[in-house]
Amino acid sequence: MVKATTILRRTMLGGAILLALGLGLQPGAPADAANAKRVCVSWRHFQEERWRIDEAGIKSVLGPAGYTYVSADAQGDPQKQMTDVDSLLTSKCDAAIILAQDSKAIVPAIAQGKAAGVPMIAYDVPVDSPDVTFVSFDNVAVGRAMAEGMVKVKNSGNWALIEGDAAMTIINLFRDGQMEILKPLIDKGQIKVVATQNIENWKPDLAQAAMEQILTQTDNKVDAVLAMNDGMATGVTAALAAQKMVGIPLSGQDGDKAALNRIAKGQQTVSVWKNSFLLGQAAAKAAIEMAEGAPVTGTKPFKTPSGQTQPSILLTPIGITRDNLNLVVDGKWISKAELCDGVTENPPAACK
Amino acid sequence: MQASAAIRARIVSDKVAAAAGLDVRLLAMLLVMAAIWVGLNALTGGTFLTPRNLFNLSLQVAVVGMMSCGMVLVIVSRHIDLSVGSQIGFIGVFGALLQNSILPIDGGATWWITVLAMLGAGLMIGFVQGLLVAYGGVPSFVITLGGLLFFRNAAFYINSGITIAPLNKTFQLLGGGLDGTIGALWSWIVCVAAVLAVVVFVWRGARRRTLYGMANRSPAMNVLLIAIWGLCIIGFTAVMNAYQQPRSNIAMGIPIPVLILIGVTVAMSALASKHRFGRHVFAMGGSPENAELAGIDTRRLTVLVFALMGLLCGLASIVVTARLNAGASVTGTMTELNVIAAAVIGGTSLAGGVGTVYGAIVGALIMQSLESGMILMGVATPLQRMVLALVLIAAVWVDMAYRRARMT
Repeated sequence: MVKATTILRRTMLGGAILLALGLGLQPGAPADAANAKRVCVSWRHFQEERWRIDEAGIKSVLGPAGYTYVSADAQGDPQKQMTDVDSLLTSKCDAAIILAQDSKAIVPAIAQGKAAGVPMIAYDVPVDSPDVTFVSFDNVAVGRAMAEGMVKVKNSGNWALIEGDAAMTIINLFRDGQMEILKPLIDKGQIKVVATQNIENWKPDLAQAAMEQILTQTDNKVDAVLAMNDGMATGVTAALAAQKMVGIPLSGQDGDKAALNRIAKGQQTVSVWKNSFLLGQAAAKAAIEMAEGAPVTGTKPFKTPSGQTQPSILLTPIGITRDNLNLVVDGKWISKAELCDGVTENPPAACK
Repeated sequence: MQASAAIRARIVSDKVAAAAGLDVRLLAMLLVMAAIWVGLNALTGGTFLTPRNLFNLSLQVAVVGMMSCGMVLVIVSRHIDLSVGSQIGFIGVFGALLQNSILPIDGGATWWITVLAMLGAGLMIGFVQGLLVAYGGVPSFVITLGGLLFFRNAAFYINSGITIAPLNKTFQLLGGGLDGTIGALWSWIVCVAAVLAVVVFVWRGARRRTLYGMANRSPAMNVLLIAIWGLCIIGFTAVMNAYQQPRSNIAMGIPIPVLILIGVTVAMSALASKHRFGRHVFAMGGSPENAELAGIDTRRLTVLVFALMGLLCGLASIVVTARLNAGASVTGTMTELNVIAAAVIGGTSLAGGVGTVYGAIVGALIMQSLESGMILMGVATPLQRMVLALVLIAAVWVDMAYRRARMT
C-alpha cells in the first residue's frame, strides 16, 4: 500500500516536471518562415497584466516589417531566464530584447549573446553591462511627474511618503525624481515630511494599516500623501476615508483603472502613466535597426548604477491629473464609462 | 540543585494556578503583551495606548486573528495550510468582481449575495484541499503549497490583475470603516450581554462540576474570575466608545470586523474545547493511529478541518476586501506566514496535538501590536520584519523550554 502510493507520488512528480519542461521550453518554435529575420524576447514575468500591452506594441512593429516574434517567459526566476536566453540564442536570433528579472544575474547571459554576435536590448529594467541598448521609461522622470502633479495643487504643509518595497532598487530612482522637485521646498521649510514608510510587496492592505498609524501618530495633521503607486494609493484612500480626509492631495503610478476613476472623482491628484504600448514599439524599432546592422536612432548615453555607459532610449512618462484625463481615454487605456463611473459633482473635462 | 528547585517552584505555581482554574501559559502571554504595550506606549510618547490606536489595532488584527483560529485546528491535526493568504486574495477579487461587475452595485441584495458567495467559495476551496489531503494521501504541505500558487495566480488571472473598486456601500460596513461600527448604545448592549454570558457560563460550569462530583473552584475564585472578565469586557467597550468620529463627538463603538473576530474566537474556542469535533481533532493530532483505533473517522475529520479553515478564509477575505474598499489581487500575499506565526507564538505545536484558539489570538495581537507600534515610532520596514522574526523565534524557544521543564 505504502509502496503503491510512493510510486504514484513519484510518477506524479515526474509528470509535473515533464509538463513544466514542456511548457517552459517553447522558444525553439518551428521556423515558420525560413528566411524571415527573428527578434527574440525573453520576458521576466509575463503573467503580469502590463506585459501583454508591451507585447502588442512589439508585435505591431515587427509584423508589418516582416519579422518573426519569438519569446520565452522566465516566470520570475532568474535561473530559468538564463536557460531561456540560451535556448533563444540556439534557435538563432537577429536581435534580442531582454526584460531582466535581475539586473546583475542576467550579465552572463548578455556575455553569451555578445559572443554569438546578437545585438541586445535591455528592456524596461536596467542591465549592468555596456553591451546592451537600454529602452525604458525614465524612472527618475516618473518620480518627478508624481511630485510635480502634487506640488501644483499643494506646495506646503505636512507630507507623508508611502514608498514601495525596500528590496526593489527602482524605488531609489523614483525617490530621486520626487526629491528633485520636493527638496528645495523641504529645505525652505515649506514642506515637512512627517512620516516615511516602505510597504512590503507594495501591498494595498499594508499601506492602509501604515497610513492609519501615520494618521494616529500625527493626529491627522497630514496635508498630502506621496504614494509611489496606485495600489498603495487604494489603501491610503481607505485609511483617509475612515478619517473623512479623502480629497487631500494623493499621488500614484501605473494608471490603474480604479485610480483614474478616483482622479475623476477628485479623490486622487495624480497617477503617473507609462504607455507601455509605445515602449514596446520603441524597442521593436530599435531591434529592427540593430538586426539590419544600422545604428539605432535617437539614443543617448546612460550610466548604469555601477558606472558603465550604454546607449539608451528613455521615454517620458505622463502625470495624469484631472486636467489631462482625456489622454487615457484617447489612448484606449480605459473607457469613458469606466473612468467616469460614479462621478457626480464637479466632473473633469474628460467626463463632460 | 538550584535548577531543580526552580523547576519545583514552577510546578508548585502551576498546581496553584491549576487549582485556581487559570491557564499559566495564557497568563504569561498576557503579561508579555502588557509589557509590550507599556513599552511601546513609552516609546511612542503615549500614542500607543490612546483609544484611537487601540481601535486601529483591534481592526488591524481582525483578519489574521480569525484565520489563525482555523490554523490552530489545522496545525493541531498535524497538517499545515499554506494557501490561506492566496485564498483571501482570490476570494476577495472574486467577491469584488461579483458585486462590481455582475450584480448591480447599488442593489439591496448585492451585499449578502456576495457575502454568501465568498463564504461558499472559501468553504469549497477548503473542502477540496481537505479531500485531496485526506483521501488523496498527498501531504497537506504539498496540496496547500499548490493552493498557494494556484489561487495567487487565479486571483490575478480572473481580472487580469486589475484592482476592482469601489464596492457596495453596505458591504463596505463589514470592513469597519467610518460607518462600520455599531455605535455607543449597541456597544454597551453587547457589553452587558457579554458580561451576563460570562456569569451564566461560570455559574453553570460550577454547578456541573458539583453535579459530577469534580473538584470545584472556591466561590471566591469564581467571583474573582467574573470580576476580571467583566472588567476586561467593560474596559474594552469603554475604549472603543472613547474613540470618536473625526471632527465630532460621536462615539465610534465596536467595529463590525472586531465583533466578527470576537464571535469567531468564542465559537472556535468552544468548538475546540467543548465540542466532540474539537476533542476528536486533538485526539487525532496527538496520535492519529490511536484516534483511528478509537473509532474516529480521521479522514472525514481532516476534510472538516480544512473546510472550516476555508470558511474562515472566506470570512477574513470579506473583512479585508470591505476594509480596503477594493479587490486587489496582491492582497494577502505572505499572510499565511503571519497566520502560522500567530498560532505558533500562541503555543500551537507544529508536532500536532497541542494548541489553543485564544492563544493564537493573543499571538496575533502581540505581532500586530509590535508592527503597529513600530510604524508609530517610524522604524524602517526591514527592521520591523527583523524584530518580528526574532520575537517569533524567542516565543517558541521560551515555550519549548517551559514545556521541557514541566515534563521533567
